[in-house]
Amino acid sequence: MICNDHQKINFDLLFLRRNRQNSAVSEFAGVQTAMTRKTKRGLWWGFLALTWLGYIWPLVGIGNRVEPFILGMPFLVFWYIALVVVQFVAMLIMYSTLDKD
Amino acid sequence: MIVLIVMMAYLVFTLFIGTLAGFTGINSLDEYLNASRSLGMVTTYFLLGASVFSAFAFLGCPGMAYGQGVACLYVLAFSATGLWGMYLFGPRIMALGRRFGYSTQCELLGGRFQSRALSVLIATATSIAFVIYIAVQMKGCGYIFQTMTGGKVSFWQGALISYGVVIVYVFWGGVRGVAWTTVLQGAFMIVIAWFLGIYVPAKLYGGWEPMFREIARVRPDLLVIGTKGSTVTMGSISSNILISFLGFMMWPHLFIRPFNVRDLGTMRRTVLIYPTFALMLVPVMIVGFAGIVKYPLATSGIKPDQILPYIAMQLGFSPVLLGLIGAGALAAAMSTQAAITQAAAVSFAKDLYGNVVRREQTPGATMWIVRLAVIVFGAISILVAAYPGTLVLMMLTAYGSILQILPIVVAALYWKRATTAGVLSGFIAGVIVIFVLQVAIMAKWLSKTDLLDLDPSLYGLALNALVMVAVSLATPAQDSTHAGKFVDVAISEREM
Repeated sequence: MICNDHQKINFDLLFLRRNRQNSAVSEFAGVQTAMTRKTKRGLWWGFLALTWLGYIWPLVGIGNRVEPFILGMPFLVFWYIALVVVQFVAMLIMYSTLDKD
Repeated sequence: MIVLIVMMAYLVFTLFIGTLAGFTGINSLDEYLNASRSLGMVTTYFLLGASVFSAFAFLGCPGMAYGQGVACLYVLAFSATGLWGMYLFGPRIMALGRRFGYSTQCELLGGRFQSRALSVLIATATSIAFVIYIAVQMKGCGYIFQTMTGGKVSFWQGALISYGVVIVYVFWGGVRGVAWTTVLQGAFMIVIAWFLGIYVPAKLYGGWEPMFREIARVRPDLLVIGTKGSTVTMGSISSNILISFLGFMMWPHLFIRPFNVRDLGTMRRTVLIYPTFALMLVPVMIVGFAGIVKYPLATSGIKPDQILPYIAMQLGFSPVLLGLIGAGALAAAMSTQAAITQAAAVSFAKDLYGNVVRREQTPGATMWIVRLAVIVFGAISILVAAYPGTLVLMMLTAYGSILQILPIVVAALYWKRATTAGVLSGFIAGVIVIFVLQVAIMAKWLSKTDLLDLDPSLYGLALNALVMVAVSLATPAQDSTHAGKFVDVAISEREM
């Protein structure tokens, strides 16, 4: 039960913060920052979606070859690992520029 | 003998850690089910990772690399990206969990659509999928024990001992017990996997590059997708990635993690670092590749899934090391069993028992019902594992039906106009499509090429979404204040 009270307080805090933000949005400048943030987020997800398509037909066709060997791996194996790494880095940047408190 | 001692020592240690969590103050239902919604990043990371790093990591995944080459890469793709959904839906799920006190997927969906039938239907489908998932892990453990001890421990003894340990600490320690052991097991199996991934190719070929050069010379078809005669086509690998990616977060044991996590930032950071878990699968794939040239499938006389233990035995490691490898493989299977048993027991108690009996329980009673459910669920899984032969059709349908939850989740969180009749008929339509197509494939009325190499569950998903939208629009809308509690509140929560 103690835990539940604790959550309730947390939730109320969230609610307060949200209200504060809503009031900020009513100002013109506030609206603009909210828009650009949303657009930026959209662009990042667009980029992530594009890299994801690299895993499947037809885009995986670009990486579907044995040569050249990179870092000791055939190209297709490297292709998949590289996509994972690119997405990882992209999400890190997205988080730190847009979602970090 | 030493191998057996090392593996047993690992089991005892896990049991100790898991039950210890039970002694550190499980004094409330919220603690037992949700760890008081307090889990941090590392724990959540391993809890989520456990589901990818199952028995599959040490048996199925190297087996796939060994038998089908680059087909195994699909695992990398979906395990690196499968949690993106949690970055998007997670904050909503978390906020709703806190607001309404949810601890299962069905509670959330049942809450939005106010339908016991829907809850019971989803809980039944996921329970079947879970039981089969556990049965697969048990077979993995049994096999690991049998091979690594040279038959001193039989298949069934191994399967039962390891799952018995899991049941005890899930029963006693709840989600915190699962969390603690999972971190321990996760760290351990990663060390073992990387050791093997680097040592095996170095020992057999002198490194990764010479190994892949050998494969390129002897079996070039295993290094590209869709060459003549290879088992992996563009269609099948794309379909595998797509269904695993879309269905990943719909597995209830992953879906419920936002209910346990400490705060929004922790959850986001967990999703961010999660792809590193996918990279942990690279070394076990490498071990599979290492078998291709040195121990050709045609002459080695083993099944592909046995390649990792087989290579470990062939290389003549010391007994202690073999024991550690066996323990690492057990760790992978057991952490998955624990996460699933825990999620299944909670779902069983709250969604099935709770909805069928229709009586309010005190938190204390619910805790004991969940504990009882751990035992019941464990017993059913053991029975199913004992009679696997007849299960293939059920397994394919059940796994596919997990994906059919996706439209319901999207509708519940994002679409006010969705109705109970809509999501219910969509789900049923989807499951029927999968079942019919699977039967048609098994009876050879249809070939996989007729379906463009795409999995039947994708056709189910498409029809599911169509029916859901059509029926929703044809039936009267939900009360908009009620629907708004799920769609609008959550939206503003995300902007925090």
